[in-house]
Amino acid sequence: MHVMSFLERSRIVAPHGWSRWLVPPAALSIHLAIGQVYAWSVFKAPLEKDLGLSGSESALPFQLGVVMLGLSAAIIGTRVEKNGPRWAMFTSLVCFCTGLLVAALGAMTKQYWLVVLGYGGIGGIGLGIGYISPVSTLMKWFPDRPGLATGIAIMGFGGGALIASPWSTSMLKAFGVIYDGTRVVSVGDNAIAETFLVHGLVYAVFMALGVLLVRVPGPDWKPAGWTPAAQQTRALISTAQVSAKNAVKTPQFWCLWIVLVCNVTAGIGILEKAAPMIGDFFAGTSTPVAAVAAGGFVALLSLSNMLGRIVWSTTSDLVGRKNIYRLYLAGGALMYLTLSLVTNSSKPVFIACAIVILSFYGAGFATIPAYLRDLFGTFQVGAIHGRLLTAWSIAGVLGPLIINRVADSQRAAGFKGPDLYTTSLHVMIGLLVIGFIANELVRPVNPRFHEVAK
Amino acid sequence: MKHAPLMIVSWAWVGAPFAYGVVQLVRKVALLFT
Repeated sequence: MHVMSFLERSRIVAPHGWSRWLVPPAALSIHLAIGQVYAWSVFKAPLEKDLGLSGSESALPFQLGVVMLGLSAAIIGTRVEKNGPRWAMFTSLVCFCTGLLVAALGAMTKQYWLVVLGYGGIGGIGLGIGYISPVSTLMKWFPDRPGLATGIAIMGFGGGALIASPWSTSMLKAFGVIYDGTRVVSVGDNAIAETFLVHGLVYAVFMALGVLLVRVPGPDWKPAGWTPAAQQTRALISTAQVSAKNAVKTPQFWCLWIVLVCNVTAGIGILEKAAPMIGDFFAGTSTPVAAVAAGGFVALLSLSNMLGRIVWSTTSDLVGRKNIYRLYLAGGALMYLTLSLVTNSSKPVFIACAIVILSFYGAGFATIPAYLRDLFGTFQVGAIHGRLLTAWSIAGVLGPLIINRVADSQRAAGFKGPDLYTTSLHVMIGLLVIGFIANELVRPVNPRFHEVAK
Repeated sequence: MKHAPLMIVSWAWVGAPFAYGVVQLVRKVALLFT
């Protein structure tokens, strides 16, 4: 009973004078933790060695996690809005960390289904709730800079992998996983289980900051010197409110859904195949790329993905959401076109194009909550965002599928070098053009969907 | 500034691991140019 009351929205209304700059660290403590999912690949090789799994089997916890992220955000989003951010962050903490503990049990007892259920199933629910938990709160605290606010939080999700990747690797080594380069030679008794266990406990403590620190602004709070009327200088920025139930009935929601699918598919395709792609591109040239350098390329793309989230999302506050998506989609298509024309004649051009594509990929995630807020208001923006994230689940499967299938069929047909990827690059250009058209179709929401003021 | 100690602790709480991740990443990126 006491726990439930501690989690209530009424308990976290900020007192007068509370600084809004305390809210981003609360959001970051959740997003930096759940962003660990992007570093799942660190566990793949040790699990394959220890439990005799194939590459596809060891990817299952991650894939289920991403699907559960989209589903839980869509299904539980309205409840997150109703119960408030502390309840959502606490629920995310419990699910995410319980998932890691169940995975530890699975690794200890060699029951792989428990790893999949724990990390992907239970942990995936924590991902979805955690991802949307701070979104509407941040936008209520930063009505003057919504792109900056959500950019900070969603950059944290990208940053989570930066922390987890080296941290998890060193922990696996400390508990007895022996590597030869990137290859796993042997796995000590319970090394993976102990790593999962420590992850679950440490992340619980880390996320607790968000649960304790998060506050919602009082009903009449607004930033000093800011007036809503001054904000509404662009046609697409509405001061009206739309419920999540009504938002999914609008063409604007589905236009943005298409934009997100196309933008994410285009980015995730290159992100997933980055290391083999740069190797294949320059294999027959005078400047081949070694495996170690390809690893550096992947890291560079991760950095670009993360920085794109904060830089472009913040820029969107100045130039407008529709304009910034024009840049992401048209600019991305132009970069893919350049890659397909320049092929392996210039390594700097290849790297520069990939950097820009990945910065737009990350930015697409970070800017979408502010776009939703412009169109639908802050009333249930977290729940609407949750429903939109189903686009991510689809793109997460679609992007790698396209680029892997095309590369495999081109290889079977005897192609090599950049020719392995030319068709994929053209598919990505097509997708980005579709996304661009969908963005052009976005208009202000019909007033019949607006909530009536009480 | 109000809540200054809380502000410092909370930003350090999230900033320290983030800085660790960025340093590790920059070291890895350097491999591309060696």
